[in-house]
Amino acid sequence: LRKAVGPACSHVVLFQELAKYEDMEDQVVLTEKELLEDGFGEHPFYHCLVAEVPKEQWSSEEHNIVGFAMYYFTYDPWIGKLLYLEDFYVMAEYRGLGIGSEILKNLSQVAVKCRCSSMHFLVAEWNEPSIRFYKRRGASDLSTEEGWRLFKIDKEYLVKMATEE
Amino acid sequence: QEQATYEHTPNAVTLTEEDLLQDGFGKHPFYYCLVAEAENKRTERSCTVGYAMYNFNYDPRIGKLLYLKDFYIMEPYRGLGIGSEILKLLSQAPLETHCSCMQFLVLICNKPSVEYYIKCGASNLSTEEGWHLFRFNKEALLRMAAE
Repeated sequence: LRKAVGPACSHVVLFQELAKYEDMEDQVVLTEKELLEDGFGEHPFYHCLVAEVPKEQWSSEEHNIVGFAMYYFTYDPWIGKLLYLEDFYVMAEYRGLGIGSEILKNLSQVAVKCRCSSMHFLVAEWNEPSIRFYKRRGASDLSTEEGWRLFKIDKEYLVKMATEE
Repeated sequence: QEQATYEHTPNAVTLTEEDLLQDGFGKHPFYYCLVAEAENKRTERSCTVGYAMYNFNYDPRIGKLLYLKDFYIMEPYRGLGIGSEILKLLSQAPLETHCSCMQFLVLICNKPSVEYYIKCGASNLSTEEGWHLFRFNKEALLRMAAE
């Protein structure tokens, strides 16, 4: 496992795969250039952990990066910093090998080191394997337990509100 | 503190005032804040009567999002258009910083807020796309970190 350090890493390819897994391929509008600039430019908007096949086993035809986690820090005025896990994906052929657990362990260490009170993340309610994976490790479903719902206001409505008299 | 009471969880506040100030106005701000101030014409003193706290999230499919973390107006000052004005200013921020949209969490039991946001054009992604918010608390993090 290592921290993604820049243009040399191919986590972009994995984002596309994750989009396919979540059936959201048509929603990808960000370009690879923007993604790299936003993560490795002057002000990083996210951090990335990648799971890589050892150098000795690298092949030119296959992916060398087989899993990744994208995260950043958010803030709660009552408890302080939180680690927000935005994306977490391990390629199908590499699941069941402990890579996911290892990534989560690393993320937990980052959270503890950065004095985060907790780690938050979203899971789609139909994604049963992931829900089981997280609940087994002690995660709580705050939407069910406390009633939190995620809302969004799209650009067209923002423009409307921004220009209202 | 007042908002915590509104959401029925006053004991959930564990952050100190010092931490909060350092985290927002230190070298690396973890949040941004918009405040609504009311001036007492007689004494010429102002006090804060509403605020919105936000920062930026990131979705690798669409880029930056404005994440509205907290939004509160003191009861005596509601219904005066302060909330709309705050939302209007917040709506300008994402456009300036190239955000695709604004996201935020709402408690489903908070009917006035839910109705207000829907009227502004918000969609409930939990209902529409099935997203649930999960959390690993500190105890779970420490356990996983030490495995």
